[in-house]
Amino acid sequence: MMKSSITILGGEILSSLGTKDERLTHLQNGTYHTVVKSMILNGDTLTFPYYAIDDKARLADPDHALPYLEKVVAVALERVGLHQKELSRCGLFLGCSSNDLSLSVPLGRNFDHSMEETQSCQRVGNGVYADFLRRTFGLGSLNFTYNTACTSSANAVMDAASMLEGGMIDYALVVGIELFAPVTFEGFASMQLLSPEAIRPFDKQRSGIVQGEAVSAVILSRSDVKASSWYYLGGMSNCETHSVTGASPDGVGIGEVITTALKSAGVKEDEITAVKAHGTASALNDTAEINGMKQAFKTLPPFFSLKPYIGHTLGGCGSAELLLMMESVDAGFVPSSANFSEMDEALDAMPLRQALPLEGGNFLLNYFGFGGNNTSFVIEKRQS
Amino acid sequence: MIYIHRIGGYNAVLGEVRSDIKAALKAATGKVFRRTDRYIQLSMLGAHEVAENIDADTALFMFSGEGNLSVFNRLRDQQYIDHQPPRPVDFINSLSNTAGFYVAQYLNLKGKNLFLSHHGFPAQMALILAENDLKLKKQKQILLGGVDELLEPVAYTKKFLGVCDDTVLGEGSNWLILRAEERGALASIETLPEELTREAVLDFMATLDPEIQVAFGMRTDPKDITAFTQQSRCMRFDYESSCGYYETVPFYVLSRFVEREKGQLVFIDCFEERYRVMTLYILTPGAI
Repeated sequence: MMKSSITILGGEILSSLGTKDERLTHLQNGTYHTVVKSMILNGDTLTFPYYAIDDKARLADPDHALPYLEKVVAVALERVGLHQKELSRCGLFLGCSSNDLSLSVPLGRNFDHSMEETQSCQRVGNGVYADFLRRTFGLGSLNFTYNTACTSSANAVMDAASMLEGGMIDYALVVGIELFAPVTFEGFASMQLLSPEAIRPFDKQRSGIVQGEAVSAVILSRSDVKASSWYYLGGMSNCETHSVTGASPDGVGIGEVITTALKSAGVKEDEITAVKAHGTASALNDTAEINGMKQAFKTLPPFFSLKPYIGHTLGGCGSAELLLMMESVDAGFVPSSANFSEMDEALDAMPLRQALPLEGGNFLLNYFGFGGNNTSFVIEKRQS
Repeated sequence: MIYIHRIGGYNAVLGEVRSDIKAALKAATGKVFRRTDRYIQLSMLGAHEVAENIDADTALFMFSGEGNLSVFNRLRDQQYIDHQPPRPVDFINSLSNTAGFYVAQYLNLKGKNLFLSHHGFPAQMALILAENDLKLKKQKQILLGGVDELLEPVAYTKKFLGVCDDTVLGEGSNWLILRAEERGALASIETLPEELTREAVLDFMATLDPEIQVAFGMRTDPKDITAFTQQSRCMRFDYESSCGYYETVPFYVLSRFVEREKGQLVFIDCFEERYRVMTLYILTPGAI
């Protein structure tokens, strides 16, 4: 099989981990920081940890999505050196699980005040973030907004690669955005999916997810347009209709998607250097992922979850975790799975407990979500 | 160019009336689908019309202007009026791809499953993405559907859709089965990947063969429609008399044309003074 020509040029992320230097320090040392969020349920005040964007100048305006998007994309474009002429050949692929977030702010305001006073006759709602970025940066006219729950920006990466492969565009800007939204936070709490103390993927004592927020931008191209040491090799996305809230714990759906992703990438199972697991720390999701990986691999490669560092950033995790993974490898390691301390005999699998030094290789990235959406893709860092 | 192998769905009759979709779905399928809401039922009702005995590896791409907004309104009421956290079923249904999940579950689909939206041209963007996947053989077949629900109060909905007060709103769930192969197809469809300016549309209209029929998106300024039609001798294809406005209505236009006409349709859509062109060629007239 011919090697892929889809290059990954780099990007930028705004998350709880701070600047690039700060986040590399955290990822190397297995450290992170959270804040406390609370909610009232049946008269009781419940508190949960939360990974908030580290932004001291955070705006009071609840609709801070647009300034964050502008800031992150501007840095990403500058970092990879894209200029105006090239941007007109750049498509945009934006993933967000709270696709209605852009509508929630005006709707909420209207409820607080008066809808007639505050709602002008102008289209709001889905697609406005992508349109804002298109106008702000002079991007090409092809833009797509994905709402496939926690795989949103991962599916955006896959389709960006396909559109580059098809020659529809020369550059692809993939954006993942997930900001604190009370409805989402309280929705997960009401489903009893939030951990009250910490996120511990694959650990025997795992007690649920901890949510986080992130805005990230990753830029892709083709090797005939712009070279990079990073390549997107191939992937697979499918829908498993076992349950609307997740994959089947037997791992059959996840095993299939990983096996097909490896085939699409032209990579054998023993050629995977490490796996960035989805690793949400919910009992059933981690079980499904380990069972799925065991069906796809004779021997499990080193694997880790990035969610202990930035939380579960839902639809934003596709591009956010891709970028954190690339930055770590560029710095000479893949991170440990922080917070892991005790193996779950039922899983019989242990994630990385220390950062693993390496310079390159093939990496599998897993993303699974509500709606039965399973996505896995393979990237490669070629060493010079 | 890609090929339409099946087309159809549900389109509300003109008049801003929310009909009983749950009953219609039960009548069509003989089943009641627990934990689904009206938007999901609308999605399933439309897909049911085209997707009988569909291959399990068919990809499902859904798109919408606003997604499942009525559940979002329920969540808002729970938050602001009841001061309660979201009910789990509403929270799950608020993720727009939940509709795609239920469609896939009903049709036993296991392939790629996307939910897409766009500020202005959701139908055209979804078609461009589908065409690329089919041409690259990433997918053998795609079930592509656009779903928008009429949300009350209608006057308020018109404001956030950005349409005039005298626009009559509608709703629909319109679906196509697309393949890269021509054999057995009802029609082919081509979507220009580029946006056009008003001037470019004027030039384009002047090149059209008089036998081609043309239709315009409901957001197009009537003065522009007059100017465009003066550039050619093409006939107008009427769909506006049978449906209200919703953001995925272009798929209803395609469906109606395939159902009733032969020849070629050029559909020119407009949003914020930007234009997109789709061209539909009928291969098997009267096949539906």
